[in-house]
Amino acid sequence: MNRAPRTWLAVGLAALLLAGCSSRSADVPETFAETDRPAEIFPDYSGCVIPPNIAPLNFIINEPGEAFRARVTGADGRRLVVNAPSGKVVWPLKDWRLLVAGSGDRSLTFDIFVRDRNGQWERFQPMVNWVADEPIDPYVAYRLLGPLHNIHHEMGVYQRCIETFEETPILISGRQTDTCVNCHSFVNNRPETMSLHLRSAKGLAMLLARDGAVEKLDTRTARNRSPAAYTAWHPSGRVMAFSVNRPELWHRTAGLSRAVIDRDSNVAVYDVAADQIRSTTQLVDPDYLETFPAWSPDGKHLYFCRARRTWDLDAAGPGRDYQAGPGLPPDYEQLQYDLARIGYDIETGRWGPMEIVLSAEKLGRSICEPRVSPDGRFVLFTAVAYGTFPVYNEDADLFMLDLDSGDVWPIEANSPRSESWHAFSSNGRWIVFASKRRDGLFARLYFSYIDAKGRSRKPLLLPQEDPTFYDSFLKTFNAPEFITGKVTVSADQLLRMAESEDMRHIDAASGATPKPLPAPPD
Amino acid sequence: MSEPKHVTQGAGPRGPRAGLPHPTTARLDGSALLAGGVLVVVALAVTWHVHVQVAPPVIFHGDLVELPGQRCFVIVPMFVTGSDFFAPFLSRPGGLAEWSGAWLTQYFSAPPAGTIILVVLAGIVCLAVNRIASAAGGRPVRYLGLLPALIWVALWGHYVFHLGDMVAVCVALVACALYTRLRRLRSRAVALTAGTFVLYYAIGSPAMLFAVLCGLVELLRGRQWRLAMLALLAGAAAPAAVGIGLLGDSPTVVYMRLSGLCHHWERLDQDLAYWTRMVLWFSFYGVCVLVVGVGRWVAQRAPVRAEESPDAPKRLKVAAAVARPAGALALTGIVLFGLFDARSSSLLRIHYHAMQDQWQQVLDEADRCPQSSYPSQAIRHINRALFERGRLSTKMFAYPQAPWGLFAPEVHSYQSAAQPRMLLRMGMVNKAEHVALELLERWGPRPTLLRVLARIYIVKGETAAAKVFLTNLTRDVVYGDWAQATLNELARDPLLSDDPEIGRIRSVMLATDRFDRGYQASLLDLLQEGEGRDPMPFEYLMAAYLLHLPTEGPDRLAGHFDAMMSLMAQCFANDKGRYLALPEHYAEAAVMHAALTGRQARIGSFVPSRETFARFKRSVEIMRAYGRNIGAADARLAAEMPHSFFRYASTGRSGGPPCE
Repeated sequence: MNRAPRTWLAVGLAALLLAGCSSRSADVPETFAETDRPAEIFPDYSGCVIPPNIAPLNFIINEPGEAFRARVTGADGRRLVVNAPSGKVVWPLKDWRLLVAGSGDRSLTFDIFVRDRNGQWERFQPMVNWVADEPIDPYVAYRLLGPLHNIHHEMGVYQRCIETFEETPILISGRQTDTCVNCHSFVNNRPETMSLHLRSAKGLAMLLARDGAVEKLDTRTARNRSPAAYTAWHPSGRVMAFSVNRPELWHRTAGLSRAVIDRDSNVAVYDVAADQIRSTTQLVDPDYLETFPAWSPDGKHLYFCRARRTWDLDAAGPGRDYQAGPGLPPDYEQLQYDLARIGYDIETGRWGPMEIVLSAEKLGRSICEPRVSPDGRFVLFTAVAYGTFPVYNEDADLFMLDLDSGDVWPIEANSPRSESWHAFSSNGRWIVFASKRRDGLFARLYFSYIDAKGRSRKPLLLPQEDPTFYDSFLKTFNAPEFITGKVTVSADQLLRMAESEDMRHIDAASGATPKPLPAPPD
Repeated sequence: MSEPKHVTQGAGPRGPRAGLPHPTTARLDGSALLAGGVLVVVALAVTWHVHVQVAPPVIFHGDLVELPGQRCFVIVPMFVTGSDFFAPFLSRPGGLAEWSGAWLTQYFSAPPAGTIILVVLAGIVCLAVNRIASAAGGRPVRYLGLLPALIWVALWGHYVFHLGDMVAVCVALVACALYTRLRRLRSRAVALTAGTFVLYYAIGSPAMLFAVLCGLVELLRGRQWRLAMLALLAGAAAPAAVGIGLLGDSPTVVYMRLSGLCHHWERLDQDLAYWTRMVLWFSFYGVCVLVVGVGRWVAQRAPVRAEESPDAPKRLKVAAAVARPAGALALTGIVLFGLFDARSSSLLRIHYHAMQDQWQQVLDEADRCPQSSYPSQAIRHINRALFERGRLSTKMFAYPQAPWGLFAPEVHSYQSAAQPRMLLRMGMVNKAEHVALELLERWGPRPTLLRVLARIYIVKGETAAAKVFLTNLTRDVVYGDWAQATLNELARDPLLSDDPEIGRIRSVMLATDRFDRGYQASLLDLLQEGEGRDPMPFEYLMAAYLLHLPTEGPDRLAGHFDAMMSLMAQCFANDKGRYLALPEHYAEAAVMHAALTGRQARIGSFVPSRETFARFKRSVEIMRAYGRNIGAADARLAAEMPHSFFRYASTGRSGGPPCE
């Protein structure tokens, strides 16, 4: 279904309807009183390091008043002033771009003016941000879904232009297709090659988009009976590592209501050219759980997380309420994953030795979702008290590991709520991650600047054209990935292939000792 | 709803009746008066029917109600104010009608407004069809307009309509009625072509109905073949050009949009009755006009009917004059009383009262129209009402029961916001959250769900999350004020500490964080943590034991009974005067347990009555007498001890005789 005309029609009409509400250029009041504190604004765009190519940082002024004005001043003295009739500060895109682009590696200051009932203007303390020299990748791809993960009626993978507010679907799973779409992955942040997984009644498959064409693959073989899940492309684009997992959703009686248990997992690679799946003993060890593959930028190491499995796969634990299956594994809340890596030679396809990079014992937490920075120096990962599903753990925080020095620390951008699903920009200076810091339920996307020492700055909420957008948005953001451009295949192409019966099965070829691999999850 | 007065239009000079005074003119005064009277009676009856029996507020609050035949009641569309909600409607054909239908449906929540909307729609349809038929037939066909209006009323009585579809068809009919007033050929051609395209954008595929009706009128009235062909072409081309060509929709979608069929497209094989009804509804108007037009053609060529002849006997004339009004009244009676779906109505009312916490009314409704079986959702409402009225332990088996009569299975499409509301009331806050979020994903942000989600997060102290749901709700026409008031309260007190119900739930909610092991385990946890402050966990746990007893195999029966007895012993030992006597169902369970184990039937200081022992003995005798003939045994037990747990335990059935 061609959605473009419909989208444009809707956007046009919405723009017409909203035209009356938008801010207009104005001057700041000539006389005003000074207030000794900064204004309350949302999102909190103060003291941040911002990309030079970011869309306008629109915000709402949460101060009582009859009229509002805001001024942004670049380091070169260029200024932009807007009226904000209802407190919504909406910067004109073109003027904003000129102003911010001219402020590279310099400050950007917001001034807020509020008129009270008596007609007296007040100016709040200026809020200063810093414009970085290094741009952010212009697009971020993410999944939008309801704030739960066990049923899916309306979910989709979208791409959002960070330089504007344009959001377009990559693939939407509606009520008709009833398909779970997840774990989109790109080669070196480039949009030309993308993999994306489907879970539907029609089957479990992976969509592989390359050079404008899409194919549907069944990654299950006699050795791995479950489909691919967490995916990482080798920097060469010739090989893709993926995990095979057996997750189960459980509920808790108090506090956070959900928990996911990965009953069994291992890691394999798909050699695209040879059209074969292979692995090695260290990645399919029958005594261990292996998951979350991530390549080093030179492609010589595959990082992954592993933990010793403490339960017998066939043994039943305590009974379950409504779903058939074995019960809860004993001592699951003590399960912690180490960060490991294994050598790999892309030319010969040979595996090297495996080593533990950071042990959970040393960190005191379970390590999940490792991502290596493009310069190969840092590994950014999520750490939780136990297990492997940080999005449901309130204590999930992002940690940075310096591979040169071995230092590891929680990044400065963390909050008391869950942080997870992070990714580096292609220049390594920006990270994007999903955080539930605002309300504990809905994950939102935040950007943070990472300096040369791996230190992060105050994070920046993904700006929206309507600054009140997040007040009522009922979807949660998930699995963000930076991309350097728009995905080159259309949503129609992907949808057609997703609904197609035309699926190619991949062969298994492995020298590894196979272990009984997980059955497909529900 | 008066008849048009022009009566001689189109009576051609060529037919056999040329030169005769028109019979309708001759008896205009008397019959018009009679017709007017009949129409007033019908209008009053329909208004009463819609207001009292169909009850628009019941429809409005009947969101996600499980109805017979695996039907889930989701005909109330979501609607919020604001341009961002409105804009997507503008981007699809029929969006305006959909939006209007959604908007008007919101007023179903106010009793007179909903009734007025439906009755006015019926009136408009009646007038429009009269006008179109008059134009096609050359003269008014008295009472004809009542037919479609009554069909609409019948659909309302079956709770299968979507107001957006009806608004669309209504607009199509009105547009066609206006079209028939155009005189000049060229104007008609332009109106027909442009009107079909414009209407397709505004009302979706009912624009095809407009085109077809206009074409039929042209054909029947003046044999304008070209205009008729143009109408057919425009009707076929508009969806293709706008829907497929411009917007890239599939042919199925573009030709079905707002036809009433699109809602169950994917369930054609399962819901043939619905489809049949909607196809009839949609094609009715064309058939109507065709019949009238052909009737005119036949009448022009047929000899004058006996009763229309000036020489006809008076008796025949009177009979002819009375037949049609009597038929109209009879048809109205059939629609209002014969075709009304009383069972669905009763289920909707039970749900409505449950959602308003009107527990006595829930029981009154269940008693007014008892049914042989209920969807599990209705059973849960009844059991909740029994608990709230203090009768769960004594009257539970006076109603049909089922194993899912207390809690819905967790993955279940037909849950409404009632389930998380009940879990929240009981203190299973996390379970309530999980179920509500599942429903949100399955059904979208429906106001009742948003409301309960906001309450859940307020109870949990997650004010920011609660605000997201409340902010959504502020734009709701019905709940907007409540949401805004709650937001204001939260700004003042983020935990709503002064709210007594929030405080009560916090005092009984599960506080120990552990992996969930199911409803019965959670009830036990609530009992232990709550130390008996809230009677609901105990009574629900006992009810769960009683309900599941017939499903237990012989090997687990004793254990099941033991658990129940132990629970009773514990709770009655700690009871501080809540129970003055052993509730009847518990006494029955104690007697059965004693018979099974040979132990005493005493619970604390309570002993079952002699009557209970006697009833048990009799139930055993009946079961032995009838052997494997469970049906006959159940009939006997139902006659002798209709409300007894013994009957349910023996046959798995309960409840009184149904009213159907």
